[in-house]
Amino acid sequence: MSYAVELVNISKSFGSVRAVSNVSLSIRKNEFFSLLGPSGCGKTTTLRIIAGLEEPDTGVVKLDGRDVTYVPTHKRNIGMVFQTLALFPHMDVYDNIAFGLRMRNYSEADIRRRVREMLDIVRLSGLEHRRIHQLSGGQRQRVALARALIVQPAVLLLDEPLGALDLKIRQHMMVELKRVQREVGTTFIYVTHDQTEAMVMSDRIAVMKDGVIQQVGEPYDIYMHPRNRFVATFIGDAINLVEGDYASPGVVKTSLGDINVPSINEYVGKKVVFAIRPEKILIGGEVSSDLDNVFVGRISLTIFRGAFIEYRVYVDNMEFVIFKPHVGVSYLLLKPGDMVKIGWRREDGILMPE
Amino acid sequence: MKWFDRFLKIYTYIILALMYLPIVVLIIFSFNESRSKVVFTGFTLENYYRLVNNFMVWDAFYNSIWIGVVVTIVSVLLAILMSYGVTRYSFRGKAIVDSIMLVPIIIPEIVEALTLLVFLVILGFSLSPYTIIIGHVAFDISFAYVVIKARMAGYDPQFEEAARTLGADEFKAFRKVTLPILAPGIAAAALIAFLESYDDFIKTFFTRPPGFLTLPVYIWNMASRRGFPLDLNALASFVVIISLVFAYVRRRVERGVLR
Amino acid sequence: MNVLDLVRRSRKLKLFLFIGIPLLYLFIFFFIPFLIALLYSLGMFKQVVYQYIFVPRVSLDYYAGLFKYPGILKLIQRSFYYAVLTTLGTFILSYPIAYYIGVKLDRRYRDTAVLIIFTPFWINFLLRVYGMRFILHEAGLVNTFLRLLGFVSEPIKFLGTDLAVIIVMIYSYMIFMVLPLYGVLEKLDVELLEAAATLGATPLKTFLRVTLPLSIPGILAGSLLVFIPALGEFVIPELVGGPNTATLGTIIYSLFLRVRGVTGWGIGSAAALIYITMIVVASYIYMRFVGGEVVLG
Repeated sequence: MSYAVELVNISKSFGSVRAVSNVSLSIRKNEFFSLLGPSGCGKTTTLRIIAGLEEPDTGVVKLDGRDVTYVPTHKRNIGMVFQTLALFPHMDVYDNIAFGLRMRNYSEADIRRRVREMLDIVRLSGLEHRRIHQLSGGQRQRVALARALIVQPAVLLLDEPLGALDLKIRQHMMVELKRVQREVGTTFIYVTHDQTEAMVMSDRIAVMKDGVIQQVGEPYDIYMHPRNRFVATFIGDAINLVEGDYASPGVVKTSLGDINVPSINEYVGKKVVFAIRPEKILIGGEVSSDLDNVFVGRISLTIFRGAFIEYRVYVDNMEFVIFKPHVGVSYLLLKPGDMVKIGWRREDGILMPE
Repeated sequence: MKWFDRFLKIYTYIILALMYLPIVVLIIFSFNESRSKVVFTGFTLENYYRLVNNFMVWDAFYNSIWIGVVVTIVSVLLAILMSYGVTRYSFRGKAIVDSIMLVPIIIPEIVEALTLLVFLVILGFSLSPYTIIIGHVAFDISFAYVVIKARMAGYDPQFEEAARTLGADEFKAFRKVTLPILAPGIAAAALIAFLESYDDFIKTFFTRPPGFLTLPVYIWNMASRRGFPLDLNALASFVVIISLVFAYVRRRVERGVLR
Repeated sequence: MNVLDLVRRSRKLKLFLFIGIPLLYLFIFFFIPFLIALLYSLGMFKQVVYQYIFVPRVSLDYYAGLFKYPGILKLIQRSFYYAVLTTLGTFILSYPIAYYIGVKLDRRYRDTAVLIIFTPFWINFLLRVYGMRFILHEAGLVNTFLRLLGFVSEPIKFLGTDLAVIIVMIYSYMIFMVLPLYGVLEKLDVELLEAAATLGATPLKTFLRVTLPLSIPGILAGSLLVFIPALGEFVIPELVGGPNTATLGTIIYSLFLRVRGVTGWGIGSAAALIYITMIVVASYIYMRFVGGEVVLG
């Protein structure tokens, strides 16, 4: 099977800064793939290398199995949605969307038909002759998407296109993007620093840091089985981390005491990081005496977060973050200063190398 | 496209070098012996001796400087008032006032010069250094205004409001807060205003009393003769040095503006 | 109650202080002189001994005088010719420079590059023109260069010709074209060019469809900044030209110089007003032609 995009050992430096380091990726056809990482992690550079806007120092870029490493951008048949959207300010909506077709010398009649269709897909019909500066942020987003998609690119590259939008519109556009991707069936590669965007839209995510890929996997997989401390903290709203020694199979010795964990033989005798997600922790009356791990702590803070309640609980010097949905009102009875039991199941814990 | 970028780069360098060529040639020939040919015949400092002993040049230089200073003070003061008014108050016809301020920059100087001359003569003014100053201020207000307004437009009036909540009246707030913050912009405007006046030839030439020289008028008198008066080349060396000093000061001031 | 309090209370007084005083200055010493010169060119001031008195009658004598000037139409035509060629020449020479500095050159070096362009223009304009006389002379650099390369055997006589005037005008006015072009190109979003490439545009098409249309405001500003003063240029034709390079500016200058007094200034005012009219008409047509939409929208 040939992949939509393949990167083989790509590296790229700017001066003394190594922006991308030995990156290899295989992105499947019709996949919604996200490159996720903090700013400066090399995700945008990777995207620009796929687009041909940067040349890699070493490595090979393949589109549909064809080596395009030294093919100029305009001959690659890709589409790109830029961070600033880069809509041409001297053209109206119609001319912006038609630009790629004109570059490919389509007939005007053909262009008119295709632009109409595309306007339908992105739900912008009727706005053909608006100037760009007369559009709202969300509408501009759609124009940029339509302009990139109309040439039926082999792959669509998106560079943090939702960054400038308000939260509400952003949430709406995430769903829109996903819908459009299903509808047109094109491979999307989406660059973002916002893990929510990546989680919501992606089929698979690659987490990057310092030019190196940390982990590639489906959202569920990355959330539940982060491979290292960076991925664990970067994905999800919060996580509780405790360092310790994996002394014997199934037991990690930490400053809080022994923690019962799944047994993984390769860690035996090594330093490890134990992690537990906030929603996996049981609190107060939920903690039964036969739970694998039980600790006693003092509530330092309760925060009403809407869909759930956030508790901060000190066990010794370690502050745990705990999320609880509020079915009924019982959880509101817990107050700062109260002593409570907290605990979790062995299999909910996550183990990572130090 | 690499070759094209390289071509652009080389082209740019060549044109930039050509921009400097006439000036370099002037300076080289200031050391030339022969006054009749454009061929370098031998090294001499003769032209410089003549320049140093030419009191007319120094008189003209002095006139350019003091006229420039007076013009700068008047036009910068007027421009500060204007920019403050335009950025701080809203009134009907503001856009018109703003574009009126630009007219003196756009209108060709020779037209300004002639109309001012006709005006002065008809009203019975006799021409004097002060008529030169009046003429220079009329275009320098605009240059100073453009620079100061740009600076003032980026200035947050909340500074001034903060000063007023702390007990300063409007005048004190302006003097103690607004003015110091605008100082680099005002310095840049003053420098430009000074140079526009100091370097002005056409308006000075039309509105000066007979026999009154400024440096550009002196240069014109020499250059508009046929041939190659080499003391003018010596003067060019002097002018170039002064200009480079101005350019340096300007760069310092502009850095201040950016900061 | 002191004066400051009075000013503080009254918005009108404040406005007069800030806007009124500078505006009044401009009106008295800039706009009214225009009006006076207009009336004067229409023969509405008469000299009586040492005074001028206003007479409410219009005469076109000075305009007639101007058009009786030998070769006046040829002269106006030549002024146009110089101005148009100077505008075109500065544009063609400047665009690549502005593009290189504004788009290609690393952001860190741009200020320095602009400074390098700017510096020669800080040196007195008359001296630079005088310097060009050395370069264009029969024994000057250009001729030496051409002879060494074997293009010519006899030195070309540049000085006194149209060519010399145009070369020196292009040299002198370059800066007014480079800076506005640099201004727009420097602000040009490189992502727009990249976007065009991702949509399949070749570099040439990207230039024609994106870069060039987006530089129109700079092209407009630059052309007007060059064209308007170039139309009335008299210094350059005087210094490097000859008897056959007189322009509209030359008439105004020589009328002022040689026919000082009532008639000369009357005809001069007429010429100045015709000059202004030409500028307004030419600029208007030009703006409509090149892309008023960009400027207006």
